[in-house]
Amino acid sequence: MHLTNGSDLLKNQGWQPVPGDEHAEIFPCTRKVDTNSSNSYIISTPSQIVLIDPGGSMEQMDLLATEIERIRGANPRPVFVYLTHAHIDHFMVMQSHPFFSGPRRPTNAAHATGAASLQNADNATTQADMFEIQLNPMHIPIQFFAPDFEQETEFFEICPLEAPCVRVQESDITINEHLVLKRQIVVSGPHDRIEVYSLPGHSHDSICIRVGGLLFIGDLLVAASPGVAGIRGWSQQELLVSLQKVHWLLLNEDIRICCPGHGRLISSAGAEAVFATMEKEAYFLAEIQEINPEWAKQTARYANDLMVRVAETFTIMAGRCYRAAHILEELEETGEAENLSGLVCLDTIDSILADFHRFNEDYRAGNQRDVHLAMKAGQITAKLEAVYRTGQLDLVIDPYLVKRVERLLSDYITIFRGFQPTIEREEFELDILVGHCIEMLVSPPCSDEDLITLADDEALYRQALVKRLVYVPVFEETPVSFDPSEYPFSVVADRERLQDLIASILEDVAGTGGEQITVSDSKETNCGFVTISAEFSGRGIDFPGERLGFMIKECELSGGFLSCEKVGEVMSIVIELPAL
Amino acid sequence: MYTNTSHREGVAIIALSGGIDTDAAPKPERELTTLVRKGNRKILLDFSEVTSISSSGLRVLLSTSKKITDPQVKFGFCCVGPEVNEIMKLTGVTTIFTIFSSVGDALDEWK
Repeated sequence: MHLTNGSDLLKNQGWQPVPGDEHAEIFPCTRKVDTNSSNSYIISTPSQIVLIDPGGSMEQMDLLATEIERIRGANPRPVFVYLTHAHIDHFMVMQSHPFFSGPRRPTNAAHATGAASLQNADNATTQADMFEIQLNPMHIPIQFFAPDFEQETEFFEICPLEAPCVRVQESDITINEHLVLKRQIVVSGPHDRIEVYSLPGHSHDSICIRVGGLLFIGDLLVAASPGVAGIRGWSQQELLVSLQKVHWLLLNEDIRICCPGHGRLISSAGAEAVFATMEKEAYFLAEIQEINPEWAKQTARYANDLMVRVAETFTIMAGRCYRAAHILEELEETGEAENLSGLVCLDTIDSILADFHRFNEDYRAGNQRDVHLAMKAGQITAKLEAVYRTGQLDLVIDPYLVKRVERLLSDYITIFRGFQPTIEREEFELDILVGHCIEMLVSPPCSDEDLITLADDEALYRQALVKRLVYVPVFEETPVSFDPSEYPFSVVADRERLQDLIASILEDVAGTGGEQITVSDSKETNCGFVTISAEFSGRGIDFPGERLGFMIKECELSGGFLSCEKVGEVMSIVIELPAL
Repeated sequence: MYTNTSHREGVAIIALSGGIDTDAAPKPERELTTLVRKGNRKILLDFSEVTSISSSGLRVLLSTSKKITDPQVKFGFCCVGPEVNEIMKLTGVTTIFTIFSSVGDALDEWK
């Protein structure tokens, strides 16, 4: 089994002393970030073994179980499982791995709220329903921060064979007159001291666990991240307060390394910087929508449609570059052809999109859940944005296509973060916008006159020639006629989005074989209409339903409504907008 | 990507299926190179079963056509479905490749 090395701070999958605690040793088991399983950590002390967050991977749990059995064989001690919070990816293996059943099973400990969720098999607060998993109830004998907790509580005979006695003391830290950090100290032997802090925000039951100079922070580090902020149980207010408290801990206590639930270990100083950034980000998350199975379903559907659109647009842009490069090579302009191909990492983008395509096929085959697809699209979008930003496609490709991809990626990130893309509504004359849009589509970026004018300057001429070669006169064979309304009128909509929507509909209609394309606009009472009609003679109208659905969504983001009518061989797409 | 090569009336027909992307594109390219090397002078790519094409797919097709330096060799596509046709039309590669609506049309034209 191979798990990625989590950090240079501690050796992954190896035993080493716990910094700041001469009696304890740690065996970290960190992994590449994914939604299936958290990192896990084994702590070994003379009188107990503690497994923090067993995770969701059976393979990982096999490794942990083998290691625990090995050290328990050498020195028999009770085993405890501590959960930083009761989310499925941190405890799923406890539902089915044999290590958690039988007389030698470990004793479980969690925040009282999380314990209640686990005991009641609450599929919502544990996020099990996001992954379409049905939980079985679990027993959690040791519960931290229960409302009826006495100053000091002893848990006896909680594990049938080993009958350990665990003492939990309440010992809150007053940070200032407004801020109290709830702390409980767990003592199970002369040299064993584990501190547990209540730090909600990511979930109501989130705790951080301290052993010596190590702080196990669960998912606090990613609590403001896209796809995480907004999950059920998440609270902006609690998170902001918890961030202040953890900041105080890092500054005032001898904490050297933070051990997160996902990703690499991080030094105390590094974590401090991340928490400071998170605090700023978290202030803007007040309006975030709830991340739940319905969100996952909608976002996965949107991700699927959007990626199809991004892939299509990118293929058109890249294909135009390749075609132009091909012509340049025929003209023996090899240098220019190479420059063109090198403008942006075309192959890299293609392989990123192919990665999503493969994942999507797996999703369609039923092997991935909605939330997985939404998350994957989030990763892919971030990668594409990073590669795309460094490119210079807009030097040669029609800027509206380049902008389209940028906007689509940005919209997905916004939706993935749990927000809605902004509609920049403004008032403008519809005739002018539609006319400008058609003009933009049918005019080459560099006219014959421009080429003649630039002929004396070799560099500029080559640049213009490349731009001209990249341009594809899509509407040369299928001209577009525009029939403006008799009386100009204004509408209120997102101008840029609307213009791109009209352009993309016209391209789609021309590309799918529409002929005699006409665009008209009209006004009835408070509504303005743009109607795009085309004939599909002989071939039948073939406009995929998914694409139409995506157009409807895009139109909503422009501030309007889109409908499609088919009468005989004529298809009409109507955009309705609020008019003045 | 699955390819199947057959011969009709002196034309080598490579039937492609699935999506032509980064992983799949080299396969028809290899097939085509082999056919040219073996002396085939009329090669038709049948797109009936092709569901999608990526930019890498387009690049490989362009680069393959470039490798056919012998002016006697006839190279074309047929039966391009609406989705792939849209991509080809919007990228302008329809002006570079010879595209037939059916295998029969290609055979008639290349007689």
